[in-house]
Amino acid sequence: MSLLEARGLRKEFSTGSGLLTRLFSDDVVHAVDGVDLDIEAGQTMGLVGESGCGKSTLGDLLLRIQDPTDGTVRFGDTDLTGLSDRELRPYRSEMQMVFQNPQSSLNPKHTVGKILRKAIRFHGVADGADAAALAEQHLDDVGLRPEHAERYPHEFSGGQQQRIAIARALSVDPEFVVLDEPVSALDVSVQAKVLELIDDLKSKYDLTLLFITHDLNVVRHVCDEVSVMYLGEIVEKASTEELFDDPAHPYTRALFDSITLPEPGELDRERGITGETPSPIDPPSGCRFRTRCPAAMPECAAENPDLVEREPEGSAETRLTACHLHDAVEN
Amino acid sequence: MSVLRIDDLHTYFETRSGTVHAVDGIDLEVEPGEIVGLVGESGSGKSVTADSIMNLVEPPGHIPRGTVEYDGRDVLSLPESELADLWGGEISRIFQDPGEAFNPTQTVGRQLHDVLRSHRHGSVHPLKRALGLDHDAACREQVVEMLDAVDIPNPEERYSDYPHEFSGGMIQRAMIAMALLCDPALVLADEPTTGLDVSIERQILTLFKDLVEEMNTAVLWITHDLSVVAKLCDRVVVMYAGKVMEVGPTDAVLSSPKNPYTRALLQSIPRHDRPDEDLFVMEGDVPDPLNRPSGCRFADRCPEAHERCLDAHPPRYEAGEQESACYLVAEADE
Repeated sequence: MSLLEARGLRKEFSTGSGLLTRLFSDDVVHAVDGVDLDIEAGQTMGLVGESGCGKSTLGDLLLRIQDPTDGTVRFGDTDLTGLSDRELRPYRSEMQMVFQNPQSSLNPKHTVGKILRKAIRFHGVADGADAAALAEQHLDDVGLRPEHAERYPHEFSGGQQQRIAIARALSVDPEFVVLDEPVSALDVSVQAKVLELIDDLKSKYDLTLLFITHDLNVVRHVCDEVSVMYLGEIVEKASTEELFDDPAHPYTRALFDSITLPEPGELDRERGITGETPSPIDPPSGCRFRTRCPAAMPECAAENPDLVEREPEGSAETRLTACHLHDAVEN
Repeated sequence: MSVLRIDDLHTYFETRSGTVHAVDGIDLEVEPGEIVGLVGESGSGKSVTADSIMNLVEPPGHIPRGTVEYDGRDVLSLPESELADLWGGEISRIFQDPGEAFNPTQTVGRQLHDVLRSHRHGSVHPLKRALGLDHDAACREQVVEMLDAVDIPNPEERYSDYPHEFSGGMIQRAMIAMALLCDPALVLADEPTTGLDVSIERQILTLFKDLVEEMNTAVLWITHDLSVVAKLCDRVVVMYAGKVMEVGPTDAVLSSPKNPYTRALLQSIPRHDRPDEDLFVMEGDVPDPLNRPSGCRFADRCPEAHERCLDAHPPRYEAGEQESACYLVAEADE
């Protein structure tokens, strides 16, 4: 059984902030629109997509940082869907989050030691001197020295701040951690260090991870499985190796065509995606990607393809894609 | 003759804790029509270099030494009136944040129109401007053409839209249009595609490269991203802690880097096509700008450092098509 299972997750936002616009405007942003997701214990699932695809909102929904409009999330044996904040509290320490921007997720008025001790005490992991010792141990885990506990977040570099955010998330002994673009704001030399750290800590603490990113190069290095998201929906899911060997969904292919490498060469004008992502307020009918898809057919406008399990030839693994092209081949 | 020639440039900032050596003696040239990438991580001094080129360094910053020559003229000693003519006319700038280029209360078309108008006919009386009497039909037409050239759909209609009505990719295009509008000889681009999705970044790089090649504009493209340099730039200048570490044709630098820092940087980038290669992890941090080492700036993180590296920062040695600030290069020659 998977550690985490989401079924039919949806999240809608109304666009206006005022009461009147909320009451009378029909403009609804479909940020996440019917997502099923399974994450096995011990795995690192990559969640990939461009800005506005809903990947960060999906991360929030899985941790109940935001409440879904519809759908369920099961964690272990527990259905988190109907739980009140109070009932959720024991699960909060099991499920942690690391954000892209550590400056905004670390309290600037508290020392690093206090930030960690507070989290540890709040979640009832340890108290008093034990909490302090635990905080120190977790700082050591991320390569910081005991005296760093007395300093404030602004005294650290961006890479160190991100390590502190990781230490705080892990200090409450979670099973599942959502990492939302954890290295995107970092310089490459610092990024390599933080990626190495995440990898080390994952094995040390037996973690299950959801790694949200736009960077496929990073995905290849850290993830076991990948889900590709476009305009609120998952369009393809496969093991990392399968996906990189043979990206199947036209959107996944287009994303792969856009990957850049530090390798000399001309820009290939024929590759990459044309146009921009349509508005999630008024997504295209049928398949969401059809307006930019090089292989779109008439039926793509009529019906939104389901995410269906396919078995690629000569492979024991299954992959999921949502594409009429693949439906046609199978029939 | 070079469009831009920087010699021994030093830009320092005086702070309460001491002098920050942000740019610490760099040389750099950009030839007409050439796209040069200025690459470095945070704290390398690349953005301060751009400010220095525009003579926009403000106290507590100052330039104690060095020259910046644009088209043979010494930018650092030009009177303010002549500087103003350079900015926006012969030298223009593209920013990472379009908010720095656009006024949110005016339409994009109007702002482009005003840039072009004042370039052509000089400044206009504020009253005339407020009443809309400075409108120039020829300028408007050219702005629409430029919006079209940067692939903004329905340029006639988009002319009257405000900046917030443009998507992230579209406002970057509009900023490129603004930068190229007056046919500058040099464009300084400061991380203009950082933060954009890769698919949009790709579209914009292709567009930009086509446009500047067609107009024969020289470009200094500042970035932390070597994969952008790979696709865009003819030559690359790699900076670290206020110094230039390596210079050379992009292909040569990327395929056979001659400086240990360039090598380390390249090996720390995750690549989907090399999944089994471990990333190179540089130990330690960029040296404190208040207290830079007296030897090679990269020595304490360099896997190839030896005793000589601690004496003085190495000069740039020639290495094939490249130049590298590394004693190893000199020793290989001996």
